[in-house]
Amino acid sequence: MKSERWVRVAELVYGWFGIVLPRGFREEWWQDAREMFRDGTRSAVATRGVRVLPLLVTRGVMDLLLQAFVMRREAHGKSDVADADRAIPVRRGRVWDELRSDVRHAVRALLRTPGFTLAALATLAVGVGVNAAMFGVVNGVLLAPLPHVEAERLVLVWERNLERGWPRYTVSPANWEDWRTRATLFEGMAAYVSGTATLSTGGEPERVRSVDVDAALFDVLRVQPLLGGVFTADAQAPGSEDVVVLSHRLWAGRFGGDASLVGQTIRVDDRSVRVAGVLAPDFAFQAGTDLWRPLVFPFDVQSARGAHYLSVLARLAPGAAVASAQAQMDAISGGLARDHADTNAGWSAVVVPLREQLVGGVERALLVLWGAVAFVLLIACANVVNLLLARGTARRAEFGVRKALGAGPARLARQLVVESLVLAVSGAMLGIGLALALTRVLVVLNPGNLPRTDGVAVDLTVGLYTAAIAILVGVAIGLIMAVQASRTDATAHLAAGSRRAAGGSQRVRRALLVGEIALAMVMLTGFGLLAKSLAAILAVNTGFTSAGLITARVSPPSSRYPEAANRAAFYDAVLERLRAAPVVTSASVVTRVPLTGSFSFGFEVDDGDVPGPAEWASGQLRAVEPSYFTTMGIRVVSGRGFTNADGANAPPVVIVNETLARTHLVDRDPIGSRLLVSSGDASCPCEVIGVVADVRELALDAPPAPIYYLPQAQSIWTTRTLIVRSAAPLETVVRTMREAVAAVDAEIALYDVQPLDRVVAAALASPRSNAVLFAIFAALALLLAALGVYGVMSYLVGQRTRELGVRSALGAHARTITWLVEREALAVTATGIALGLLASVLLTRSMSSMLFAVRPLDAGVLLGVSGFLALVSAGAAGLPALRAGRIDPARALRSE
Amino acid sequence: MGRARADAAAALLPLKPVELEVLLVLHDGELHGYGMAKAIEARTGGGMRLEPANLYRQVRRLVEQGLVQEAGRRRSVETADERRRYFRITALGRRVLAGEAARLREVVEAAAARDLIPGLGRTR
Repeated sequence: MKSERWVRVAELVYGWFGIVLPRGFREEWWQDAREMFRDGTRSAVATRGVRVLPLLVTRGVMDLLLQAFVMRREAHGKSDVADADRAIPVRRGRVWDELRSDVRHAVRALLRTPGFTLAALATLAVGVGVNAAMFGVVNGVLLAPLPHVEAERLVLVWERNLERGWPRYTVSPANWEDWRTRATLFEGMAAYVSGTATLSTGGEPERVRSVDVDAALFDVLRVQPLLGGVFTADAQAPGSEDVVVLSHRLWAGRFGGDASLVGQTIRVDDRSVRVAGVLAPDFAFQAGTDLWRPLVFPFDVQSARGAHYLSVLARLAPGAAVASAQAQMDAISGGLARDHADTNAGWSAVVVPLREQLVGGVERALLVLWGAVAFVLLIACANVVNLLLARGTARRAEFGVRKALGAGPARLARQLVVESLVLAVSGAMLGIGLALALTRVLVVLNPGNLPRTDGVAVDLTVGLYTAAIAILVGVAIGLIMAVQASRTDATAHLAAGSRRAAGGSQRVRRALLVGEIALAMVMLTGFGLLAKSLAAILAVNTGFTSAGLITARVSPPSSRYPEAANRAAFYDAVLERLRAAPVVTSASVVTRVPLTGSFSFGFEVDDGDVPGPAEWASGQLRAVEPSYFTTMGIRVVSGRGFTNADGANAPPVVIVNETLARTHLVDRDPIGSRLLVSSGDASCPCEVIGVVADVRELALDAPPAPIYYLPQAQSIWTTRTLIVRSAAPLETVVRTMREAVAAVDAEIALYDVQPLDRVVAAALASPRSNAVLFAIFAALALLLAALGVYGVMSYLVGQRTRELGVRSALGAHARTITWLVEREALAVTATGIALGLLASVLLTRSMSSMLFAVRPLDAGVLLGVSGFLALVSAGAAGLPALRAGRIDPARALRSE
Repeated sequence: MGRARADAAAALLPLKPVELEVLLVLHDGELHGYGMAKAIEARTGGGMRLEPANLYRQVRRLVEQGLVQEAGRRRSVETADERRRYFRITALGRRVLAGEAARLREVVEAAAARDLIPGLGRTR
């Protein structure tokens, strides 16, 4: 599936270069050539993988450029191109000798013009460097294989309910059991549930990530433990001995790599469990998990069809395709929906390849950024061509002489290609250095949302890619130069300063400049859209005051705190100590603070006409301690907040947010309405006693969801987050919190300690890093385009010295002449901007999923960017224009 | 008539190495572009690799010279559903190919007579 996409990308790139072919050939043969390229690529990818694609594209494009050159020569009746037929099958000896002399010649020529060489090298280093760095990220995150045995056969199977807008939803135990017995296209299908556990052997109690798994999971992943064994299905029977498998990290760290640990018991969540085995260090599923425990269902599995909480990992049977597995799951889930309409109506199953699950969310953003850096490279190439053209004018005499001495055009073309190859390869080497630095920046800038960043590095693959780009760039530039040189004949070269020769190259230079400006325009537009989107997200009112709030999680184990009342007493004792501490302004407890994930249950307004649970609305449930709203700074809009009087035995009450009141308590006074909730909490229906302001609970860039708050004393949910508001330094507050918890129960660990500000910042990480990256790339594009404008205008002024001198002698004002040059620059810029606007309209559509509250066609952004680009361009043309105004007519005319 | 045809064939000699290879593999049957490239690569043991634009430039010339003709578009085994344009060698193409082979044999014999080819000595 994936490789097919890369083959299409390769075909696309190859297809672009078809434009170099002469029209006659293109009309008759280009389709066949493209089809042949496709056939060859597919067959090579099938045997050697997508990694060969850069090489194939390079070879194909080199061939295109070379053949285009040869055919253009043939069309001019010049048949002196016999070498071209053999360009691919190489005659080693002679060609290598000639090549070596070409390289020597090229290096000498480059050293003779150090200013030009430095400018070209720097430009190429930037263009190639950002591409190598971005490819390093794309390769590590999207292309590199997953660290599992035959990972392409691993899939996740989710339930889904499209009517309710849940495309991937956790699975209920009964459905999973039925899937597993009925599906034949899977080799294994294992359920797991992620959570946390408190480990109290071998040091301070520590909260670690744990996953409860079906024993089949280890078979599905095809892993063998490093020590001991993994558990079998027997361990999953209720009441059997407690066993656990440890991660290598936990075993090597906390337990000092003690091999005798296997078979011994350790304390986990206040119970003694036997260590069955230790996993290998390269085990990479559910990274960060330290404990693997048997998944136990302390109830009849077939009775649990409505409770969705399992994740399911499966391995496709050999030869089974995702599509056919999906079709089978459609049939099975369709059957279940008929047989169990009360719980399964509207539900089906979806098979998602593991890779897609991991990287699907960032693929679009990465590919857009990759496209962006390709533009930077194109601009860099255009600049280098411009620089070379300017230098070519100076070298025209040299080439004329060589031609007159009998060097064939193919030989001259090869020398030009070798020269630009030497440039491109040297530039690429500098670029690799830049890429090493940039890769680190890219990874650091993107901490929040990029999976698999540990695989991002400048490695051999990136090196090969960079080499391919360098060769492509070198050959392309060289052939452009060669075609350019072949257009003018030898005598014209000898007549230095010929206007005919200059005229053609001026047109090319203007066209290149227009292209550069258009590309810079697209980049700036992309940045403008992302910046505006980021500003919109930053301007979102979160509904709470995060500054000065510190959060930490605690989980009193149900073994010692079985009842809601026990847990409430624990929290009350901790809060009492916290509130007595001088550094604490206020303190409270909630199941989950905003922006740390969803915790959703169905609810329904109790108005005497209650539909079945399958029809209930979905809302976010938060159980809170009475001072939650004041501690968070959440406004009570109407009614009242919770008080200590809303205890376990008091009448059940609920507080809703404005969105819930507006969408579900329409046409009635929310206060006094009654809600039913599906979470199994308390003895609802609960009476609505208050409405609080909306909070961005799930995401900053999504509208507020309906939320209902239950008083903690009336709720069954245990894992809670402590929130403390304090003006004291972070360490002081954290120490105070640890001491408060330890004073109440020394075996309970504090974990996930962080300021709420950091939680909010993490939610902003993705839009922020997208905007920053685009800002960097757009700045580079702008800089290169500005250099291009400066270079071309300087060159044109140099070419027109005589004409401008005459104007000046005839009495033209210096300002008039300056304006003449500026006007020319602005005309080119305006054309570039117009083209860039068109391209932006077409290209920024692909960015819509990265934008918030901004449409891809934002008039403000497009106008602002156009204006800015025009200003920069006018500025870059300023120096040459001023110089033109100061031309001394006497000297200008004398020098001709 | 026979004389005129032989002259037409002789006028196209000698063939360039790539043309010779294309005619050789087409002599074995009709092929599309990638098929020709693959057959040539296999025949030369990887010594000659043809990229698309180069191959079709050669094919165009061979078609213009009447040595090769189009054989229609049809589905191929390796490209599944997609149609490809096939080519076949013409009668003139076969005569030119045979002529080139005879010419090359002369060259080989002349070289062998000078002991330039190990195993093909002057001991005849």
